[in-house]
Amino acid sequence: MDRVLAFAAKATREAEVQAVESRFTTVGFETDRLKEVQTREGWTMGVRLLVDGRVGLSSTNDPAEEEGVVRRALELAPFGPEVNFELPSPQEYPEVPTYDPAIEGVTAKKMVEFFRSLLADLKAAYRDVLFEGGVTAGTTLLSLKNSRGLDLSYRKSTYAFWVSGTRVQGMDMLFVGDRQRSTGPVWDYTRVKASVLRQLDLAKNLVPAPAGRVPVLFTSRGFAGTLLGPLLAALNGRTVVQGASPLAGRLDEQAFDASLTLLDDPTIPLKPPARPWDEEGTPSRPLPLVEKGVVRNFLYDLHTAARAGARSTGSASGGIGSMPGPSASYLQVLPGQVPFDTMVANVQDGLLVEELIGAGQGNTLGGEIAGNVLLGYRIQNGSVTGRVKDTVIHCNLYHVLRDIGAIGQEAEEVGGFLSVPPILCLDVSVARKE
Amino acid sequence: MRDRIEEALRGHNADYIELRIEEIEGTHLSFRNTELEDIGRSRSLGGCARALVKGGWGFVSFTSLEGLREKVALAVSQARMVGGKRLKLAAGPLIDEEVPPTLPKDPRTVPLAEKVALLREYTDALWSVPHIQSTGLAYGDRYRRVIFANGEGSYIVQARVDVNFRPWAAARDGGDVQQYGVSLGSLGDYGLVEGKHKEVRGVAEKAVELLSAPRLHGGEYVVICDPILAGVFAHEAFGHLSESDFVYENERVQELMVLGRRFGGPHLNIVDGAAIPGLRGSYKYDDEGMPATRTDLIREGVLVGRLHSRETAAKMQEPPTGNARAIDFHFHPIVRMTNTFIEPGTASVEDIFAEVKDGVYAKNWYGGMTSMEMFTFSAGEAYRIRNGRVAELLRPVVLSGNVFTTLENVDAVANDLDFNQGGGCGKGGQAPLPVSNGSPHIRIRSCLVGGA
Repeated sequence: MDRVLAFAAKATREAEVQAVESRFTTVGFETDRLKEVQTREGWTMGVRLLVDGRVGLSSTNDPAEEEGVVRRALELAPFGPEVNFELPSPQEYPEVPTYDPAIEGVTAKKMVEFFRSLLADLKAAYRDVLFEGGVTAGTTLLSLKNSRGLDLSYRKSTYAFWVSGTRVQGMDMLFVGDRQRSTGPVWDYTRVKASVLRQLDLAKNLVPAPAGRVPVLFTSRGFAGTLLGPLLAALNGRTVVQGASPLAGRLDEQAFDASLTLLDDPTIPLKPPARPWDEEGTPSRPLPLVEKGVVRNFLYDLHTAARAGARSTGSASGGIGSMPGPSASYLQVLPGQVPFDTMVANVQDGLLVEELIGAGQGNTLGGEIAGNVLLGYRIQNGSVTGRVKDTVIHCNLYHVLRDIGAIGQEAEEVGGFLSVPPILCLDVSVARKE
Repeated sequence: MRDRIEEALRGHNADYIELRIEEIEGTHLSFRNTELEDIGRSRSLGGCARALVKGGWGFVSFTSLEGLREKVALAVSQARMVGGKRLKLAAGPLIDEEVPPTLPKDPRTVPLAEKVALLREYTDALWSVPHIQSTGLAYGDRYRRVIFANGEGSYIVQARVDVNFRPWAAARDGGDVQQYGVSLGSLGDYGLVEGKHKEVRGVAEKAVELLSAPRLHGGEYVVICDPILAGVFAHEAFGHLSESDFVYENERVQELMVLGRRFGGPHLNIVDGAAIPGLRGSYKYDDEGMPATRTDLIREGVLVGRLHSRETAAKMQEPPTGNARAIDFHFHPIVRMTNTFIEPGTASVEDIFAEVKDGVYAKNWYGGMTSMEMFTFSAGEAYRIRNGRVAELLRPVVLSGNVFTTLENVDAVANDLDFNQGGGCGKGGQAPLPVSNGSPHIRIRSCLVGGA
């Protein structure tokens, strides 16, 4: 990396080089059986040069190509995006643990035994469901240097397991599943097992969906998979400076129901997205995005912050060989007061939604959410009566989050990077195929 | 290199072993509004080893080409860990060949300055339309050269260049925002991107037009799909069910997808095949070194075939089809589609519209997902059909339904087959894989249409 900076120094005073080295072992199961064991190892280096106010980018995974990668970035720079920021100098960084040494004790054999045990429990309850899934464990070493003397690196560990079940009966197919992610090994699958069994239990009988405008209760996973994506896109500084965000210009305004508080925090120890600094070397810090319904901050990297006349929030990511962009790290929606069971009990006639397909289509920036219910249930007179199919729901994010029915007491971690409670949305349009 | 690869493959105690060494070079370029947003050039070199021992697979991917033999040995020992019943893969021919890339116009020979200048012209074309709020253009080309060698003695070198181009625009009227975009692609042809000023301007015009279009009241309608949307339907809704890795170990799915089962009327024929030349999903050998084929999936409404890897073909005792593909060396090959299409029928497009008193004409594709039996697609553009004629433009609609019912409901297939080369398919974490989809206009007698 030093040689890259030395080559770059001949042409520019603003150069940055980033390297990622990783090694992962994965065990994969198919149709209730161990199918494969994989090892993936890799190294990639990305270079970003600022030349006369423009950026040139390039990447390589050939360590011997130090001069070539600089040459390519220099060739691109005259055409590159215009920018107006300086690379950061060394500064204070928070102490953020990202590595759990217990990862070193994880062997393929242990992962196989762990998953087999989960599988045996699930099969004991549902013999007719076929399961697939796997366990992965590995480490990543991230390094960042720049021409202003920045010289940073940290190691992170990652562990994850996931399981999905398929049941086919005639032309009826049911898909259930869950996953969990952490920095250290987890040999307790209680939560995932309970979640999968709950999905299967609730899906036992099919009932017709309600039609018209009804309340929809999204589980933590349902909330994360439908409403959060478009909401985060609107809070992204890139969307804001492009003028495409419906929240642009609305800082400190009450845009949502007062029960909604949203926080991004990359400094929580040992969470999978934890990091002491972002991909540009800006120190990490907790960032309130929405407080009691009031928009407080947008997510910025150096480039979007400079354009917005703001400061980087330490949210740069995703940029090996291409422009980084702002994105959330560990996102928390603060839980509310209502227990999940009470939320269900308060619904006269509505839906409980675990997963939609197609929710990311359409005019999502405008807040339009439309999708087919992949896994969802009908709630009648305060209890879940069965699974619904052939049902399409449609709502507008800004409309339903303006006046929230209730936010649940129990926040669940989804995918290792979100902590989300269930949410009750009123007045959602539901259509079903007769 | 050949000596090193062949040496690395010699003398392992496995039922099957293979090595892939790949070189990938890509350029990407994107505009957001009138500014160049991102430009980059990447290069990667790496490989992977895969081994089969008693039905279990071991896989190792790497970016350093040192110690190839040890990498194969690690894959073998991982495969041995899996254990199980012995599996003999479907027989493959021994091939020793270098396949040159299909390159009608090699994008790598076009200077970057020329690419940037052309995209600037297209940006101007988008912004020449009043009421445009935001626009985007994304261009990418990717060269991938693969050396494939297996323990059976095959040694295949193949290279391909994939080109894609996506213009979009959003128009705004007060708080109302409407978007429109198209997705184009080609196998090794930069010509795809050239001379598209009129089409690109049309994208912006359509976005503006949508602002004043009425919403459709959701419900069941007679729907006519244009070749793009119908092709995506063939791929997403039916094609994925034909991928044998979904079928081969699941008895229930085997009952559902039993060959000979009727899925539609005698006018319904669906085909997949990488052997059809010059399309984005075309190749000569797949990533297991098997020759590409052309596979009938549905013939005259009846299920007659499916897509296989060497493993699924052996387990189902069906002929291999050369459909095992990997997106790059980080991944092992899995069963994938290539060029998937509905064959043309005999009716003219006018004929299939003529009988529709009240319906929806859904065109282009904006997004879509399936969960095998259920599908949801956003059409980029939709019109009302009244008395056999295309009437007013509607706000974009979402088509949704059950795959089997919808296939049965296809009651007319026109004669105007056309291919959409802009697709990228995702499966098992491997995306976007270059594919093409095709179809003539088709009519669905009843389909759930949601307004968006």
